[in-house]
Amino acid sequence: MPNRRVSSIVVLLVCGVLGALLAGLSLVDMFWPRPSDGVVLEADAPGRLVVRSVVPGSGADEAGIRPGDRILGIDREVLRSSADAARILNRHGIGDTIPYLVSGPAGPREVAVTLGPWRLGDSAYLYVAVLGFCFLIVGVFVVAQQPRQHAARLFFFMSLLFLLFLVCRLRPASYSWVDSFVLTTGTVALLFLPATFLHFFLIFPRKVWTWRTDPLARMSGWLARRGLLVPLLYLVPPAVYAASIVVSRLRGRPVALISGAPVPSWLLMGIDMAAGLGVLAASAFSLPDRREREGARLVFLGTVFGVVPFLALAVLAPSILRTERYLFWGVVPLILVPLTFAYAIVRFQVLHVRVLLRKSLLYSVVTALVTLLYGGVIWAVSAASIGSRLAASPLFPVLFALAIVLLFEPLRHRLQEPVDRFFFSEKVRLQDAMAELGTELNRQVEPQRVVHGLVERLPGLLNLRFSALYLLREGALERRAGPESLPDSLPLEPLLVEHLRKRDRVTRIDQLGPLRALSGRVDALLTSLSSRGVEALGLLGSSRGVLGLVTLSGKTGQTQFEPEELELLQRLLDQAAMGLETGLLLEERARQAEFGRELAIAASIQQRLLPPATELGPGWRVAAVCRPAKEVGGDFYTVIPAGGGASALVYGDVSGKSIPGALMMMAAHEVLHALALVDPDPARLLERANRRLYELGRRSFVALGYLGPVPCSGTLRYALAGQPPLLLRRVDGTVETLPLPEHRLPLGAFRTGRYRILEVALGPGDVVLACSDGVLESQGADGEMFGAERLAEVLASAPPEPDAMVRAVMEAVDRFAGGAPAYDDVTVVAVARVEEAACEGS
Amino acid sequence: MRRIVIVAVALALVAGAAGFGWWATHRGPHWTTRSPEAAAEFEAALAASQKLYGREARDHLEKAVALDPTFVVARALLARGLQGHDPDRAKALAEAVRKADLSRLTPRERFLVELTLAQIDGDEARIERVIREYGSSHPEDPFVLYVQAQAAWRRGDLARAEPLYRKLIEVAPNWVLAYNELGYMAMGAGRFKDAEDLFVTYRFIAPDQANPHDSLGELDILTGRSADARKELEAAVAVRPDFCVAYGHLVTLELLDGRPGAARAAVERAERAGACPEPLLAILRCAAAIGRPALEGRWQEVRRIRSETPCRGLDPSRLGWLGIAVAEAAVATGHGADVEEAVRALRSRPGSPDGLPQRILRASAASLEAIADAATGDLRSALEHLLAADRELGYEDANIGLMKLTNRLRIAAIQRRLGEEAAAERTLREVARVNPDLARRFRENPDRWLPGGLSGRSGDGSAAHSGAPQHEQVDLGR
Repeated sequence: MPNRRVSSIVVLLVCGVLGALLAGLSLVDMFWPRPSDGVVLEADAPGRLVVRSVVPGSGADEAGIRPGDRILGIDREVLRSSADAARILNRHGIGDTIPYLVSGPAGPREVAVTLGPWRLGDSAYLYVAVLGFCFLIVGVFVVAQQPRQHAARLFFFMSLLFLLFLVCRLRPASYSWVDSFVLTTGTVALLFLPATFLHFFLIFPRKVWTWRTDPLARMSGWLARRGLLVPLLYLVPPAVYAASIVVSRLRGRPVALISGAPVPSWLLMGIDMAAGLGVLAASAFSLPDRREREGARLVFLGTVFGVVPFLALAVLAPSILRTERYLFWGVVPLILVPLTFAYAIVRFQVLHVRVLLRKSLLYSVVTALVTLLYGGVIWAVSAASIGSRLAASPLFPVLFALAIVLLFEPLRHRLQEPVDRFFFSEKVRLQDAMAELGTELNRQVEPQRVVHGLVERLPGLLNLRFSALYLLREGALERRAGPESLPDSLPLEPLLVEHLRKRDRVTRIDQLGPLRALSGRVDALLTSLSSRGVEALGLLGSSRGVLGLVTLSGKTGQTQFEPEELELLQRLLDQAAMGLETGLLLEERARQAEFGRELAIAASIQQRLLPPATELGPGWRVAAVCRPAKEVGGDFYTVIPAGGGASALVYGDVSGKSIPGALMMMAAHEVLHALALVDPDPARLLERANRRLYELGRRSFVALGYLGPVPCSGTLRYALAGQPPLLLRRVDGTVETLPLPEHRLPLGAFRTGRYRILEVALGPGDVVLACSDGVLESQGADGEMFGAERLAEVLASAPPEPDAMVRAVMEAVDRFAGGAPAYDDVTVVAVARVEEAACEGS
Repeated sequence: MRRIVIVAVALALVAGAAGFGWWATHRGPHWTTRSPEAAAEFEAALAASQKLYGREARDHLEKAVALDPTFVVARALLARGLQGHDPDRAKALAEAVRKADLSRLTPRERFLVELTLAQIDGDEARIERVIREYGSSHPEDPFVLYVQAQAAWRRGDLARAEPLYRKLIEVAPNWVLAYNELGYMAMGAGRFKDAEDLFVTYRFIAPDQANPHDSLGELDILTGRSADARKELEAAVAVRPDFCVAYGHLVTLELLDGRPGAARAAVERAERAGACPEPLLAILRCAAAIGRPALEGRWQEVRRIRSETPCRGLDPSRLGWLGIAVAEAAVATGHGADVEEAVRALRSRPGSPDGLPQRILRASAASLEAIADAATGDLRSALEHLLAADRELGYEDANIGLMKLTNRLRIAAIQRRLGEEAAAERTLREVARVNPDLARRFRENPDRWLPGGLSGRSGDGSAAHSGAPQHEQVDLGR
C-alpha cells in the first residue's frame, strides 16, 4: 500500500480515536453526578449564561429559575463566563444552598439554589449519543473492511463528524470545563458535516461524473480531476463562518447563532445537504447497476426520513421557536440513518463491504425476540384475564400451554424465512445461480459451452475480473480460454495437483505457502500466476484423471473469497468437469469416426491400385491376393512392364502400418510403375527403385519380390529384396524352395543396392508361390508362427490351380490364426505355368 | 524534512498551549511579597475597603505589614488609611515607602504606591499625572479605571464617569463600589430599572454591607415602594446599627407613609445606636415632627412646630425637600419675608454644609422663589421658577428626588390653576411614572400642592381657585 494511503488511514484512525474519546468525555460529563444546580445553558449565547432549560425538581427549578433567565452571579460573585460558574460550583458539595443572582423579565433577583446530584444528560441526549456511536461503529467497520477505498474512508470521516455533532454539539450546555472545547468541536463538526455529506454522495456508490453527463456532474468531474473539489468543499464553510463573524463585528452587532453556527453558514449547509440529497436521489433512481441503485435508494430514504425531521424539530425549533418540546421527536428518526446504511451494507454490499452474518446467530436473535414477544403476550393476556371467568377455569392453564406449544415453533420458523430473505438473499441468489450454472455445464455436450460458462459467465457471478481454463494436453496444461496476459501453457506440477485434489476445493494462492516452500517449481508457477492477477486455483478432474485447471482472479471489490464461495466453486468445477469430459469424449469419438471414414477411403483407393486381373502373358496364369491387417496396409502387388511386351509381377511389403505404410505402399507402387516404363530390366529397375524409395522414406523400406516370366519360354525370372523365399510346387506335387539371390536387401533401406535376378525353369503345371512375411509370421493362439514348413505342407496339398492354391493358403493361414486379428498384412501370389508358350515363328 | 517540520509544528503547538494554560491559570493579581499570608491579608484589605469598612481594611493591612514589613504597597495603603486616625504613624509609613525601591514592584504596585503618596501629599496635579500615565499603558487595569471613574464622578463629569465604571465592572465584575456609583448615576438620570439592577447586584455581592440595602431603600423610597424600602432600610440598620444615613431614610419613608410615630421611633433608634452626630439627629427630629403636617398642608401646624423644639433655629434648607414645605407654610401664614430671606441666603451661599452641589442650591432657591411668586399671585413666574428648579434637579438621592417630585406636584397644581390641564396631566404622569404614590396623593388633594397655600390663605389646606388667566402650556422636559 502506498505510504500516502497508509498515513491517511492512520490519520483517520487517530482522528477517530480522538473523536470517540471526546464524545465519550462529553457523555461521561453529562451523566456524571456532580453538585449541580440543574441549569442547562443556552449554547448559542456566547459570553452570557442564559438558561435554556431547567431540570425538573432541581435546585434551580425549586428556586424559580426559568428558561430565558440569565444567571448573573453565584455565591456572591458576579460571573463573567461559565468557567467562573464552574469554579464557584466546584467549591461546593451536594446539598449546599448557595445564592444566585438571576435576571428575569422583572429584573434581577436573588434566589437560593440547593445543589443536587443532577445529571444534565437526559434520555434524548443519551439516545442521540448512542446513535452517534452506532454511526461511528458502522464507519469503523466499513473502513476496516475497505481501507483502500476512498469512499469508505470518507464514510468513516462522515460518521465521525456525525458522532461529534450529535454528542458534542447537541449536548446541553453547562458550566463544565468540558463545554468549552466540546461545543466548539461540535460546531466545527457541524460546519464540515454537510460538505462531507455532499462529497460522499458525489462518489457513492460511484463517482457521479463517471455515469452522468449533466452539467453539474461534468463540473464535479472537472473539479475533481484538477484537485479542486476537496478544497472547494472544505474551505468554503470555515470561510463563510469567519466572514459572518467579521461582518458582525464590523457592524457592531452580535452574531446570531443557530446551534453554534451563524445564519449564512446554515444557508451554505442547507445547499450542501440539498445537493448531496439530490445526487443521492439521482443515484437511487438512475444508476445502471441494479444493486447499486437499490443500495443508494435505501440510503436516500433513510437519510431523508432521518435527517429532515431532525433538522426541523431538533435544531431549528429550539433555536428559532425557543422551544424544546419537539426535541425528542426530532432525534428519534435519526436512527434511520445508521440503520439504513448498515442494512444497505448487509443487503447490497454497498461500499463493497461484505458482512458475514451467521445464520445461527440471527436465528438465535429471532428466537430471543419471539420469546420476548411471547412473554409479553403471556403477560398481557394474564393481566387482562385476571378476575375473569376464563382465568378461573381449570382449563385455562392447559389451553394457554397448548397455545404456546402449538404456535411458538411455527412462528419462529416462519420468521426465519424473512430473515433469510433479508439478510442472506444475495448469498442464496449466488448459490442458486452457481447451482444453475453447474447443472447447465454438467449437461453440456459441447466443450466450448463449458469453456464459455467457466470463462465468461463465472466471473460475472462472483464479480471476478477474469477466469481462465487450462486443459491437459500431452502432459502440460494448455490455455484453452482466458486472458492472453496469462501464460499459454503451464507445467503440470504433480505436487500442486495432488494438493488440490486432496483439498477438493478451489484454493487461494496465498494459502499455498507450504507448497511453495516444498517445491521451487511450484513456487515459480504460483508467483508467475500471482503476478498476473490470479488469486485462486481450481482443479478440473474426474475419477479418470485430471482434465485441467481453472485460474481465477480476485474480486473487483477487493473482497476476498469466502469459504462458502470456494466450496461452491469447487462443486461447480466438478460439474463442469463432468460436462467437459463428456464433451471431449464426444469430440474424440467424432474425430475417430472421421478418421475411420478417411481410412476407408484410403483402403478403397489401395484396393483399386491392385490390378483387377493379373496377366503375365500367354502360358502363364497368376493368382494373387493382398489382405491388409487394418483398413489400409503396406502390402501390394502389381503388374509392371517387363520389356518386349512382357509383364512382370511385383509384390511388396512396406515397413510400417496404417496410413504411413499405405502412403509408402502407394509411393512404391508408383515408383515401380514409372521406372519400369523407362527401363524394365529387373536388375536396373530394382536398383533405381531402391534409390528412389530411399529418398522418399528414410525410415521406411519396401520388401519386394519380382516375378517375371520370360516370354516364349517356361523360364521365370525372379528377384527377392527382403521378401521370404519362393516355393515351387512341381506338377507331381513336390515342393521345393527356390534358391535365394545373394543380395536381398529391401528397397529403400540403403542408398545403393545391387540385385541379382535368378531364373527357374517351369513346366506346365508347376506353380511358384510367393508370399509376404505376414503369412509366415501369422501367429496361432499359442503364439506359434505359421512358418515356411507349414506353408510348404499347405502348398503340397493345395489344388494346382493358382486361384485355388492361393485360397487354400489363405484359408490355412486363417485356420491357423484361429480368428485372431491379423498382426501383419498378408500377400500370397501364385504363378503357374499352364502350357507351353506358343510364340510367333516357332 | 517534512516529518521534522510536522513534529516541530506539533511541539510548538503543544508548548504554546501549555504556556497559555500556565498564563491563564497564573494570571491574577500579583503582589510583591514573600509572604503568601501577607498577600491574602492584603486582598482581604482591598475587599474590606470595597465594602467601605475602613477599620477592617486597616486591620488587614496591619497584619499584612506585620507579616511582611517589606510589603511596599500594603504599607502605602496603610499610611493613607491611618491619616485620619494616627497621623504620625501614617507619616512614618509614608516616608518609609518613599525610600523603598520601587523598581522591583509590578507596574500596578508602582501605580498604587505613587498614587497613594500623591493623595497623602494632596498633590492633585501629581495624582492626575500618575493616573494618566498608568492609565495610558494599562487602560484595562481595574485599579486605574476605578480612580479615573471616581475622579470623573467627583468632578460631576458623569458622561466620563459612567463608561469608566461600566468598563470597570466588565473587567472586574465584583468591584462592588462601581455598582453603587453606577446605580446612583442611573437613578439620577431617571433610569430606575437600571439603578435597581445595579443595586441588586451590589447587594448580591455584598449582602453583609449596609450600603447596598440603604441604596435600594433609597431607590424604593423614590419610586414609592414603601414596603420594599422599609425592608431594605431595616436590613441596612440590622447590618450596621450605626448607619446614620439609613435612619434618615427611614424617617423619610415613614413620613411619606404617613407614620410620624414610626419616624420618631426611627430617630430614637438612631439616637440609641449612636449612629448619627447630634446636628443630624436634630434635623431628623425636626423632620419627624414637621413632616406629616407639611405633607398634608397644615401650614399653621408646620409654622408652630417650626418655632418649637426640635425645629427651632434650624435652617430649613437642612430639611431638604421638606424645607420647601416649610417655606410654603411661611407664605401661607403670611410670613413671606422669611422665604425671601431664605432665598437670599441660598443665592449667596458658596456651598452647602451638606456638600450639595451648587445646582441643588440654585434649585432650592428657585423653588423658594416660586413659593414667593405664588404668594403674590404671580403664578406664571412661580411656574417659571419651578421649571427652572426642575431642570437643575435630578434623582441623585431620595432627598433631591423627592424635592424634584414634590416640585412637579406644585408645577402640576399651578398648571391646573392656569388652565393648562393637559400640561398638568403630563406633569402628573411624569410623577406617577416615578412615584405613583405621590401622584395619587396629588389627586386626593391637588390644592395642597398649590405653592404658598394658594388654595386657602388660611392655611387650612382647603382648595381655592385664584382665577389667574390662562397661559401657554408648558411641558416638563424630564
